[in-house]
Amino acid sequence: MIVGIDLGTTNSLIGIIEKGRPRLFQTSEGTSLLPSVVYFPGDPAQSPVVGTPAVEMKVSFPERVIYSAKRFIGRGISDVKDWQKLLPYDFSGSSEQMVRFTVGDKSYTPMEIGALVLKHLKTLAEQELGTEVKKAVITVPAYFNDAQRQATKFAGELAGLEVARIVNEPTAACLAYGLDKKTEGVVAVFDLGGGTFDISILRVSGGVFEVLATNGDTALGGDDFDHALASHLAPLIHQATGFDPMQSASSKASFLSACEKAKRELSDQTEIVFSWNHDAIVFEHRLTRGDFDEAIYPFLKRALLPCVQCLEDSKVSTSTITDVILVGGSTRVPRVRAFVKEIFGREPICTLNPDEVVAIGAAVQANILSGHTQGMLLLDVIPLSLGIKTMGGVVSKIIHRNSTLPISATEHYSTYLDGQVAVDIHVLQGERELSKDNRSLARFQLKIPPLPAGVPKIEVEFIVDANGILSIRAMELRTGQTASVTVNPSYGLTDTEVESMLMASFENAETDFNQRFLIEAQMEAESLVRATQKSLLQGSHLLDPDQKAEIESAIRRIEKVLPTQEREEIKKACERLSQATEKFAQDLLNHAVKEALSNREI
Amino acid sequence: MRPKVVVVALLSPSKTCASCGQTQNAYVVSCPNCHSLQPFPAVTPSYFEIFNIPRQLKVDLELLRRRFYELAQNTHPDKHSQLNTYQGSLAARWSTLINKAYQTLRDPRATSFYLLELYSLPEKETRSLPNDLAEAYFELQDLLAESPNQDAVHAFKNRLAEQKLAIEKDWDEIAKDWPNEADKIPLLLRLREQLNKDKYLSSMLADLKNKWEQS
Repeated sequence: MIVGIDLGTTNSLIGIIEKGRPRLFQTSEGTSLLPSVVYFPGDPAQSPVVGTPAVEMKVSFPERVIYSAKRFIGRGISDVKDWQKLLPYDFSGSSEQMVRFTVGDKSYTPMEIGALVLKHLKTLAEQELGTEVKKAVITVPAYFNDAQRQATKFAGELAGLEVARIVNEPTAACLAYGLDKKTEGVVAVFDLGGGTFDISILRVSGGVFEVLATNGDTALGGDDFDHALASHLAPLIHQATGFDPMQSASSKASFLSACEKAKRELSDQTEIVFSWNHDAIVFEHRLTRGDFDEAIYPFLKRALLPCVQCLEDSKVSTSTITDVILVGGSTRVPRVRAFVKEIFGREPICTLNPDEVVAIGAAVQANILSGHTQGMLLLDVIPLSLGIKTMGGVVSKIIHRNSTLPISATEHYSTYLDGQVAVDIHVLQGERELSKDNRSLARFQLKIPPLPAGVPKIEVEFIVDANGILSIRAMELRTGQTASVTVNPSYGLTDTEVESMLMASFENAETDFNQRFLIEAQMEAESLVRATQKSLLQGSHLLDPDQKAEIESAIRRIEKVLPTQEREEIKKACERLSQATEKFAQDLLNHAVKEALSNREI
Repeated sequence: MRPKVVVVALLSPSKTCASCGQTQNAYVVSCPNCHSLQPFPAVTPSYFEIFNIPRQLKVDLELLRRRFYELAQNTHPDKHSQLNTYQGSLAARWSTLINKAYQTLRDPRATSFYLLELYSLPEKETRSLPNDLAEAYFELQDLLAESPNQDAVHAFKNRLAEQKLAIEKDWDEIAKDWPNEADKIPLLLRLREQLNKDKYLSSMLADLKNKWEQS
């Protein structure tokens, strides 16, 4: 059983596909929407409260309630400078690598907040299903970078879930529509949620959902509309009452709630009376939809450029688009709908509830992964290019944005100095020319045996999996040895921190770790076989028949044990192959050095 | 005698399924008979072999997409997540290769570079300024040194666009002659010339665009 989860900025949902129909699990309030809000009670003996009861604590204990944590996931404190003053949190525990919310004498990472929400959802599903839920598909904004994806996946692991797939929200929405009716053609998905904006263009044909291009803004959403309205009203309140609603954490929280409520009302009505009561202050003000539209437009227009870029990248014109789908609660705002119509020249559709459609899509993808939806397949893309820092701080792109996943790129490195033992590699993500303007994903060192300059030939493979998450493999080609690569986790935790957090959270830590070790052993065995095969192609003339026979038989042994789940057997088979190739590797290396030296003399 | 055949089969692409032994008339990635993914060979098949289409400059995009979707349906990791992790890792590898192949062949420029690579004609060696662009190139340097003048920039841009069009035309002709020529090398050399010219033209146009935005 794999469940689908929409981990939203404002609300989160969980569901499955049952007999071909979506089923979303209900909270104790009888709705499928669980507010992504966590309240930490003053008494540390009490456990954190998630959902509507936490929302109710917002005004009384603003410093103990964390919401919109998704805005901060996978980010450092300097990434969030612009909006940290808008939210009533204590960020004092944050670092350049990671935001932390301090509540009382403890501090929490956005991943831990996410994990609490996910755990609550997991329980909701388990209660209704009567079985344990272990695996989940979790959605993220399409424009999330590698760090944000890894952080989300880690939040899932912290909640005791194996994350079977990270899926992009607009793509999930498209799948949900695909389940409902036989969609064919080119579909644009406009997804404006509480804190993020995505635009994706897909080709849907014969059950294949191929994402052509995606773009977006991971810090644009309905929250900004609340703040825009707040900025419009705050001076008026100050003028009328002498009180600035933004001055204290508690008045700010209640004022922002009032603005949020006004936003909702103005989606149905063209004119309302805005009212805000706080302590002894009573403020009322007539507000028209026109006022609201004007206040939000500076934010809304930030969605234009991503749309234009997405159309350009997908190489389709607006006239070939057959459907425009609206996703996310913020697309209920009439001005947003009008904006979408202006861009794409057609009336957008939203026959499925925009709050639920992403969760339904996640459930569809979960169903595909379980092998239940035979004909359907999702082909997604990497939203942002990957590059490597080269001389002078310029980025050399190795994987371009909107490449279909999984994808890989191979780069070759050598040394400049005799006896050089390491090469530094810095991986970045983003579209900018200079490395300092992009998100730094990983820095690592390739360790090389000391050899004359230019002799080592190191092949580094950058692999982005179907989740959009990067991994790196390196191999020294002359000897066929795997070079060691240490990648620092890009969401700002050290390996030890990750391990201790996981150990603390896993109820079934042992089995999960065993699974992880097994997969690692299988991967290692495979790359060993491949490296040996490559070496055989290059230098089998250096082998005598006995050695060759032994190597071949060792390879066959690995191939036999690989599909089994026996980690010890796989390790043993690998050791045997390593032993069999030991002398061969040395001969190859000597041969390469000799060759390089003789070339040099000429 | 050691059965050498086993290793050879692992090394090169094959039309026979390694699992059930059935032979197909095209190169096998995922066996149509037993649905198992084939071991990943050390010698990677060419992008054209993967899609079972002849080597060519401009690929029929509809056909390519249809083949790509078929292959994706059989090799994507999502379709193998329930199987053991070995088939899962094969799925990841095959998908990666198939995606790369599709990305290349659907783009005529990328396909051109790929063909040069297949015929061992590296593009690097020709990175010199083509003779018939030299004049325009130096004129551009003068123009860029001057203060921005919309008319001059516009006129120059039109000139470059015309040259770009001529390249496109020759490219089309090379693509047309391709299937009929037994010896592809002369065509590829011509193609390499045009690609090199195109590269210079594109960078000149980019410089002009910057200048245009200044004015």
